[in-house]
Order: sequence, then structure tokens, then C-alpha cells
Amino acid sequence: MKERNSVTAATSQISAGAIAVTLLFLMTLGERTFQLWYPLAWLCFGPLLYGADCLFLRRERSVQALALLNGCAGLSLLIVFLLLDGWRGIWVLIATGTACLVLSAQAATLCMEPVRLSSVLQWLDIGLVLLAVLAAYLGALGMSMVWAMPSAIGCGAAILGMLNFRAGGRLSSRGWGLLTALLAVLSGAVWLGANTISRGAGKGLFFLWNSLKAAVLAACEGLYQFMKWLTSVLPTQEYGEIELDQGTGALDLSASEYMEVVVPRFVYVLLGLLILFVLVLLLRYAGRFLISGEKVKMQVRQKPVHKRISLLMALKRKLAWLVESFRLRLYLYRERDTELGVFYGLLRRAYGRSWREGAGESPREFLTSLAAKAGEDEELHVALTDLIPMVEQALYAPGGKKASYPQAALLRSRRKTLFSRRQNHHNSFYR
Amino acid sequence: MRNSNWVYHRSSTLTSLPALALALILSAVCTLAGLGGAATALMLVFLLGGSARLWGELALRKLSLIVNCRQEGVFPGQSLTFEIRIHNDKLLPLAWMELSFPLPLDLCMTPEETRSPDDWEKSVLKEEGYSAELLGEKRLSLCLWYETLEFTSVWTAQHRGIYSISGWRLRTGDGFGMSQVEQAVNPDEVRQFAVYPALRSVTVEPFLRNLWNADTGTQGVMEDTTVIRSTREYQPGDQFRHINWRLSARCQPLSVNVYEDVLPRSIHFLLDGESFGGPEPHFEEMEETLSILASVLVGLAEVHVACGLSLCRGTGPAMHRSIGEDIFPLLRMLAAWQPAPPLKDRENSRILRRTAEFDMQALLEESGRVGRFYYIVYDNSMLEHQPLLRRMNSTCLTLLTWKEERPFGDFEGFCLRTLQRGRKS
Repeated sequence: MKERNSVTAATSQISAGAIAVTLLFLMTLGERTFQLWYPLAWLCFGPLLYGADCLFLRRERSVQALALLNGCAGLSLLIVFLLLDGWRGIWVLIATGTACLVLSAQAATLCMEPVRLSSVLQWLDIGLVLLAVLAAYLGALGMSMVWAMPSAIGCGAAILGMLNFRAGGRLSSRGWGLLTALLAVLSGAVWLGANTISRGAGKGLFFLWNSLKAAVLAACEGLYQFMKWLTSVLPTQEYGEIELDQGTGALDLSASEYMEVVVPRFVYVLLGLLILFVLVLLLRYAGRFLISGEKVKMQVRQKPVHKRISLLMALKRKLAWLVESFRLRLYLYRERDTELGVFYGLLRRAYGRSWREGAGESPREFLTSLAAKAGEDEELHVALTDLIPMVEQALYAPGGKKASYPQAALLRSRRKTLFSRRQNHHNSFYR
Repeated sequence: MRNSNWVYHRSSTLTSLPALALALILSAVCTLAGLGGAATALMLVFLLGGSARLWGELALRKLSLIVNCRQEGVFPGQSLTFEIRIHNDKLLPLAWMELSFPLPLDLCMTPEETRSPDDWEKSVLKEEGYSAELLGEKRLSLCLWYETLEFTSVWTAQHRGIYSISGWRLRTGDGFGMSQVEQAVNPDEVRQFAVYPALRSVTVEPFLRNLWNADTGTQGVMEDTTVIRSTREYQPGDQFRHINWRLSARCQPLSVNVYEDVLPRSIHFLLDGESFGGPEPHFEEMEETLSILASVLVGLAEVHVACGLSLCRGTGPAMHRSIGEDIFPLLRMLAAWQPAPPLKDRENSRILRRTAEFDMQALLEESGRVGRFYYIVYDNSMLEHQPLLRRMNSTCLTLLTWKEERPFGDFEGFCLRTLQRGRKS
């Protein structure tokens, strides 16, 4: 069995569950006839089932046993949903059943095969797009944005899983801290930006404060409601009442839908029997394959040695670099018309673009090779050739009065052409 | 490092420019339409994708990868340790890094951390001539501002071959893991490492006996400076270092030492690798021959016999290395040699037998300094059309064959396999 990346696998399950929740909300929120909180269980079901599968596979098992376990788990969840929410139409049943099936199947797959980057990327992309679509949908319906929370949780989980995957499943506590801070800053910036745009700059911060306050209150209220629900969930009579109330939903089917269900009934029965037969065959076939019960050991890897400086020191270094860079720019600007200024400008430009022949060459060699790159541009060639003695005099026999170089403007204007040609040559060197 | 490449297939679609533009436009439209929630969500998508892209673009700037390795080659079963140093010389931290090591087709060396490549990776690896079966990888987490990471990567040599680090890629990206960029190792810093043929237990006595018994002729004669036969008067043109200073110190006339003449303890091997190919290839025998030859080279080096080696043209040009004390260049040649692709008859597409082509010029120049040549071939039937044997006489060349067969012409010969210890000669 291959090494698992449990955090990424669990977050993949959460994001898949969140996508399922979002899709179901998009299908059903428009009817506004229910409280569809129950699909939120998918957010927990996926990672829990994955964990259960991992525990289950600590001993040698057959694929049949794993398929049965996951199939039963998925089916149980579907039955619980039906009991809680009753009949809400064939499409809701199909969507709910598919979601349960996908989550169960994915839990088993993730236990046997390591999670792949392409699937993590896929969950993130789909999750973010669905978040935007759901937000638009909720906005159009004038409903609360709280419905988008599962989707946002799924996106957050996908990002966490992605980063954990990229870091090889060994994201340090500092890494988690950095990521959390980044997401918080990004979310805050978006929230503030959106509210500033929609409500005016002055009201944006005020709204943020009010929203934060409301969020804290809502969280407390949610916790209270959850505790209340926990205490009320024990009596069994309530389920019966819900079933009776919700059971009438089946009668709301339109005549056309009813016909569609009734007319080809024998076909459905045959199809069902066929599927059942195929499932039984598959299960029997799967019983031949065993999954290794060996405990997957994490490879002992040598940790890299980190040599770093403090943030303060880093900022100081950056500041010093910025000051130095500014001074250099200022000098080059002041001396832009002198021979040395032009020379240093060319030098800076060349070395910024990985001038390969640069090591140990004299100013004459550098300017000669640059002149050679001028090619058919005679004017540029002459300007560069004329510059050579002037630069040498300024460098090796200084003392005279600084004189401006008449062709400085020409070299500045054609510098770009010169180095783009050089760059092309440089690239072709590697091909 | 080479110019960075944006790895699209390993980056989120939402970091692509069209997706970013679409998210921004839709966000603006939703804002104008009064859909605050949708505008916020789209803005989030835009900012997330945009910042990931920007961070990814900046991630490889001022990032250096330095690879050091004290060894240049190893024998199968031994390990090779790369000391790797990654320096992030900028303020922007990197949340993750990945060092990818594509492995050669023959998997002559494998690192500690490997995985099977993804489907998209397989096609890229095949295209670039690497193994699509296994991919080496080292993943690293957070690298902060101006931070240096130092670690070692231990590789195990599996079998004969040459490995180049030219395919190594340093990958990194943004802090959300949505984008990925990569750089290759600078061409100036690319190094090649050899996995020499596996060593066998062999005897080198037949080679030494040949050397010491060959006491006739003038070819390759040299003086043994450790054995002084006599002294004589100095004559103009005598070497300065041969002057006997002890006698001169006793006020004797200036005299020079006369040393014993000995044959050079030098052997030059010629490997006819093409004789192991042809319509009925014997690649296993060829590998075993290379192993025996490498073992003989090591054994001869231990008794201070200088060796040279000429390999016939394979996938690359014919290789020649003159007599020398250092055997590692010879082992490296053996590690790198690969047989040429099969030659097919145009008419009936039958596989033809190639005649081995050596670097004749270098061999002829070398012949004056060599004690004895050894020509290694699969069997004697391949030698009829070998032009090299026409130029060399039987007094200076011995045949070493894989198959035990009758002698070829006047040439002395013996079976290569008899050199292995535990086999009857």
C-alpha cells in the first residue's frame, strides 16, 4: 500500500462534500419550502468515513469488505436523510444518492491510492466557481449569505489540502500559521473592499464592525440552537411526525412527472434487477483481491537545515537594498549624459539580463562585444565604438572636467533594441 | 538557473489570465447590478487567483540551487550523496518547494524518495527521454525571507549507466498552492555521474605473466629507475636526473646511472562491444564482460599496472583513453558505453552484424607505449573482417573471448570467463 497524505485526503473529502452541498442548495433553495440543513452532514461524513476506512485497512482486508463497508455507510446516510427530510422528488433523491455514493467511493479510493494533485486542483477550482455561482444565486433570491458558508469551508479546506500536498504532507506549524493569516487577510480585504464599493468608503468599516459583531452573536446563537437540537433529538416520535408531514411531498408531483415514473415501471424493475445482479457479481469478484494490512510507515526523511535571519533583519536588509537601489538610480539619472553614466547604464542593463560573457571582461571588451551586437545599425555601432576611448579615459585617467557624451540620448533610445537582440541570442543558446 | 516556466497543468485554472479577467469583469457587473454577495465571491476568486499568480511569478526570483557531490561515480549498490543548498535571497517567503529528479530510462540510479508519475507527467517524461516508471522527488515546506535550506539527497546506484542532473527542476509557487513555476539547473552547473560496472572476483595473474614473459623485442621498453645496472661517463645529451651525484661528490668524473630495461607494466584493452550484438544479441554476456573488464582494471591498478582502453563506436563515437595510472576515466567509459541500435538490411529488414570501429589513429599512436594489447570479443567468428587485427601482429595482441573457441590465426587467446575466481582455467 502506498503512503497516504491523510490531511490532503481528508480536506479533499470535505471539499467534495461542500461541492455536493452547494449543488444541492442550487437545486433546491429556490423552492424555499424546507430547512435543508441536513446535507451539512456531508462535510463531516467524508472525512469520518475516510478515517474509518483507514482504521479498517490496518489489517488485511478484501476489496469486497471495503466496498461493503463504504456502500453500507453511504446507504445508511441516504436513509437517514430520507427519514429526516422525507420524499422531495426523484431528482433530489438522485442528487443525494449520487453525493453519498461519490463520497463513499472516494473515501475508499483515497485509502488505497495516494491523493493526486490534479484532483485537489479540480476540487478547488470547482468549489470556487460554485461559491461564486451560489453567491450570485443567493443574492438574486435575496437570501442570507450564510447558505454559502459550506461552500466557503470547502474552498478553505481545498486550499489547506493543496498546500499540505505541495509541502509533502509535512507543513510545519509556521506554515499553517502563515496560511491562516493569509486567508484571513485576503477574506478581510475582500469583505472590506466589497462593502466599501457597495456602501461608500465611510460606511465600509462601520459595516465590517457590525458584521463581526453579528457574526459572533450568530455563532453563539448557532451553538445554542445546536445544543437545543441535541437535547431534542432523542425522542423517536418526532421522526414519525416528520415522515408523515414530508410524505405528502410525493403527491405534489405533476401529472407528467407521475406518468414518467409509472409507465416504464417494468423497465425500471428490470434495470434495478440488472444493476443488483452486476453489483453482486462485482462484489464477488472483488472478494478475490486483498488489500495489504501492513501498516503504512512514513518514510524517515532527513529534515533540511534552515539558516535564516530575523524578520527585522530581513526588513533592514530590504530597506538597505532599496536605499542603495535608489541612490544608484539617482546617480545614473544625474550622470545620464556623461560617458561614465552611459557606460554604467549599459552595464547595469546587461548584467540584469544575465550577460554571460561578463566575467572578467574589461570595459573595452564589453563595449566591443556590445557594438558587435548592434549589427546593421551603423549609427549605434559608431556610437558604441566612440564611447570606448572616452570611458577608458574617464576610468583610467580621471581628473579632467566631466564632459557630456553627445550620443548619450541615441544610446538610451536604442538600448532596448540592443538588449532584446542580445536576449534573443541568449535564449537560442540554450535551445 | 534557467528561465522560469509556468507549469500550467499543475496550476489552478483560476490563475490563468482569461479566468482572472472573467472573474474581475463579472465582479464589476455584479457590483453594478447590486448583487453584493456575488460581487464579493467573484472578487475573492479574482484576488485569490491574482495573488497566487503574482506570487508564483515572483517566487523564483533570486532563488538559487547549488548541488554538490564529492563523488563522480559509484559501483552498483553503493550510495551517492548530493548536498543540496537552496537560498531564497528575497523578502518574499515561499510556502513550498519541490525538487523533481527525472530518472534515466535504465534507472541506473534512484533517490530515496520516489513515486510513480501522474499520467500527464508520464507523457512529458517520455518526451524528454526519462523513465516514465519512477520519478524522484523531494518536497520542502516553508522557506522564509533570506533563508537557506541545506539538505542531502542519498541515491543508490542500481546498475551500470550514466546519470546527468540536467533534468532536475526546482518548482515552487504561491502560498495557496494554486500556481506552480519551475526552473532547470543552470547548464554550466550540470554534472554527470557514473555507475560503474559491478565488480566481480577475478584474477589478474594471466595479464602479469604475459608482461613479465615478454622479454624480447624493443616495443615499449623502458628503464626501471629503481634498479641500477651500472654507471658510465656522462655524455652530452644524457638526462640531468640520471647523473649519479654520490660519485660526483667523491670527486669522481661526472657519471650517469644505467638502469635495467624492463617492459612497461601497461596494458591496453580493446572492447569489441558490437560482437555482442547482431541478429542474436547477447546483452547479458556483454554486461558480464564489462563487469569482468572493470574488475580486471581495478585488480591491475592494485598491482600498479597502467591501463588504457578503447571502445568501439556504440550510440556515441568510438572512445579511447591512453595508458594511465588513473582507472576511473576507464571505468567511466565502461559505464557510458551503450551498443549502437541494430542495423537492418534494407531489402529484407534482417538485422545485420556490425563491424567494430575503433579510433585507429589514437590506437596507432598509442601502440609504441603499450606493453600488450588485449582484444575482447564475444567469439572468434567475428574477427575475420576486423581491420584492426590485420595491422597488429600476434606478438603484441592477445584475444579474450567470451565463448571458449579455437585459436584465431597466430593470436594467443583465452576465455574471459576463466578470469573469474572459482572457475576452472
